[in-house]
Amino acid sequence: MLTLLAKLLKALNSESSPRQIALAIALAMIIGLTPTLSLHNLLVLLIAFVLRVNLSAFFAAVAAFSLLGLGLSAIFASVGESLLTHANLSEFWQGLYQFELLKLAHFHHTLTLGAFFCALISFIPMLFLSQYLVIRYRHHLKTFTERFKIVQALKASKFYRLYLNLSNKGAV
Amino acid sequence: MAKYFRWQGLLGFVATITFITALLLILAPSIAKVGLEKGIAWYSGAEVNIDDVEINWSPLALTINHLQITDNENPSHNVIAFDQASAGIDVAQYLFGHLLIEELTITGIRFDQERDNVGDVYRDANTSIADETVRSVEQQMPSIESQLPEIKDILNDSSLLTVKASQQLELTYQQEKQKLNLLKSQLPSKQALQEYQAQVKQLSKSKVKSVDHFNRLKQELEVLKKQFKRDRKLVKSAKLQLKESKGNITKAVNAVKSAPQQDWQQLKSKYQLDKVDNADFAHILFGENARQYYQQAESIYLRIKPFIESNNSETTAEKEQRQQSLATGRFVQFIDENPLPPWLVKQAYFQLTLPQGSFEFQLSELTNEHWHRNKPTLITVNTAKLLSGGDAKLSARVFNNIENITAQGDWQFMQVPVTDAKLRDTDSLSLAMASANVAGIGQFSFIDSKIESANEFNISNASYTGASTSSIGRALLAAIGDVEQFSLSVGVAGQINSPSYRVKSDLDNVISKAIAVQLQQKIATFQRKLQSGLNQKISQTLQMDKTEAAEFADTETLLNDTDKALKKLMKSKIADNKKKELEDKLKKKLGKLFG
Repeated sequence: MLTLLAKLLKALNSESSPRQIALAIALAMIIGLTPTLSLHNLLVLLIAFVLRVNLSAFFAAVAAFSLLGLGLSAIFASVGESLLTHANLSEFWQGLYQFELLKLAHFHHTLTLGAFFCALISFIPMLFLSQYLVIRYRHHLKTFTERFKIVQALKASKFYRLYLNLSNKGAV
Repeated sequence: MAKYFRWQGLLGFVATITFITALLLILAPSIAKVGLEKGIAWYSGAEVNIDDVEINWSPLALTINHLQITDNENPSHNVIAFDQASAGIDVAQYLFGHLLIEELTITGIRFDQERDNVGDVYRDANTSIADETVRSVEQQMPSIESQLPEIKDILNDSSLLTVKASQQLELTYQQEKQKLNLLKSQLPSKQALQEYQAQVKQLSKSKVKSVDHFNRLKQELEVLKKQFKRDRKLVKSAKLQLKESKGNITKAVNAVKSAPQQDWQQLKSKYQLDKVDNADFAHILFGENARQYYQQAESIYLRIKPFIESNNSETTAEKEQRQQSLATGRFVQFIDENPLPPWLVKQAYFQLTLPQGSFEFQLSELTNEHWHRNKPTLITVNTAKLLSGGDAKLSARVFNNIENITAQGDWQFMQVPVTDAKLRDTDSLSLAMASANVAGIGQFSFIDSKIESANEFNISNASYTGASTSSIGRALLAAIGDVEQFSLSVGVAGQINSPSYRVKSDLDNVISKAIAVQLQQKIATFQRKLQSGLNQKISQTLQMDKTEAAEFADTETLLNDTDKALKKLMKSKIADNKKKELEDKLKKKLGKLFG
């Protein structure tokens, strides 16, 4: 856990561009919010590995969004229920239901569809928000937080040494 | 391209997927074990134990070894346990969101087995066995000897019609007599009538001397006639009163005469003496057993009800299920070329071991949503040695069409030996079927919470044991002791939680005939003594009635005589005679004057 957190901090402070970190966070949001063992997550995982995104940030964000997903699952299930049972959309779902791929992706499952739908519409806003926050952190927050004694104490800790060690190795 | 893609990432992807898959493969049996234990415990409300779960990946098959579900009403016992269950799962359908089990086999099923350790109970049983409101068998068995009251007590009972009618007759007579006496006191006495006659006679004998004299006589006569009229009016109203009083008294006398019979009818009904001849002995002897068997079936039904119930009426369990689906989601099914319910067991085989024998269950199309495939669940139960004896078979068909659940079926068994079956065990009578061979056939249907079942049994080579403290009980034992063979018909109909039972048998006639003589003798003696007591009670009143009737007759004669006398007096033509006499006298005088 310490290593993972250290990697996230390293990623945030590395030369990885804010855009790469933001894309990693946005992709991680899809996996984290939707049920983990879903077909679409396989695709998202493949994209995360193949695209040049920061993987440490990606996995750290998956863990964070998974926790958030647990708390929001009832809302996602309600959204999915509304979408799947909406009278105007019934023909649309009926048509898609004939494709095995849709059934395999569990898009006829209320929680999966609801969470996927919410993650998709949040994807672009999350991308820009993450990018903005990373930039803000690098320019202002880092200098500001370093003034605190607790941060200084942390820098003297074993955890920080581990972090520095990772940074020196240039690990991604 | 290299600016955006890192092709070595593919290797990382494969490695990650492989790692996750390997992890799942290793942990799957443990995950399945924990999941099943928690899931079943959530439903049953008590501890669930599984020894281990084996998963065969190709083809996918799940095997559960030694499952025990604690009985939450009796935690030291399992409500159900089995040795092994294996299910072949269709992987493709599972990935599509359907649990399709091609074949399910469960062996070594046992009910109510003692546990090694007392199981934890998380909540009370959520199944409530409906309150059975059955009439006590004791109420149906007319135990005549203990029911018959003391005749002396009955005769002293002031609510008896005989007593009431006698009192009413006495009161009526007194009231009517008072009214008549009042009128009689106002009537002209015999002496007064004689005086009237004397006055009339005197008036008729007096000679008319002049017109003034005539007018005076006429005036006296008018006064007398007015008196007669007044008296006649009194006589008339006295006659009317007499008629009314006679009517009232006659009515009261008739009531007294019919009271004993009415009392007897009422007593017969009160002590059910009229029902003895038609006593439903089959119901008394076998009704309780039929109810017990039905209750066992009902308790099983109530346990499986939440699984097969239609979705139309939302129960508490369904509300919980809905709440849970809000957290975990649910699969929404659309029209499909090959529709499937959320779960389906195409073929299932169970083996159930009970003290009554070993039963083999074969089921097909086991699901709770039959409307998807339009195929019913077919159930066949076979046993070769029911109660260590004969063969038995049950076939049933269950179909849930969203709106309601229908279940139909039939069963039969042959030559099943029955030993020491208690038929009746009360303080006054104990009766058991020591041994018999029973064959039976029956049908049942269950539609929308209503059950209807007809069952026929044929009992042969029957022998009995029993004892009774009453003579009627002994008569019953003697009668049934001779019955080696009889048939029994048991019908159940009505709402599943409060059905009515119909039990009939040719045993009724046999027992009825045998004990009818005994019962009739007792009732006849009772009736004779009671009737005699009742008649004695009214005889005094009726005797009084004869005396008083004579008195009334005398009054009637008196009134008639008075009326006749007054009538005669009123008809007397004294005035006319005197007028004529005066005219004749005048004519004579005028004749002399004018020559």
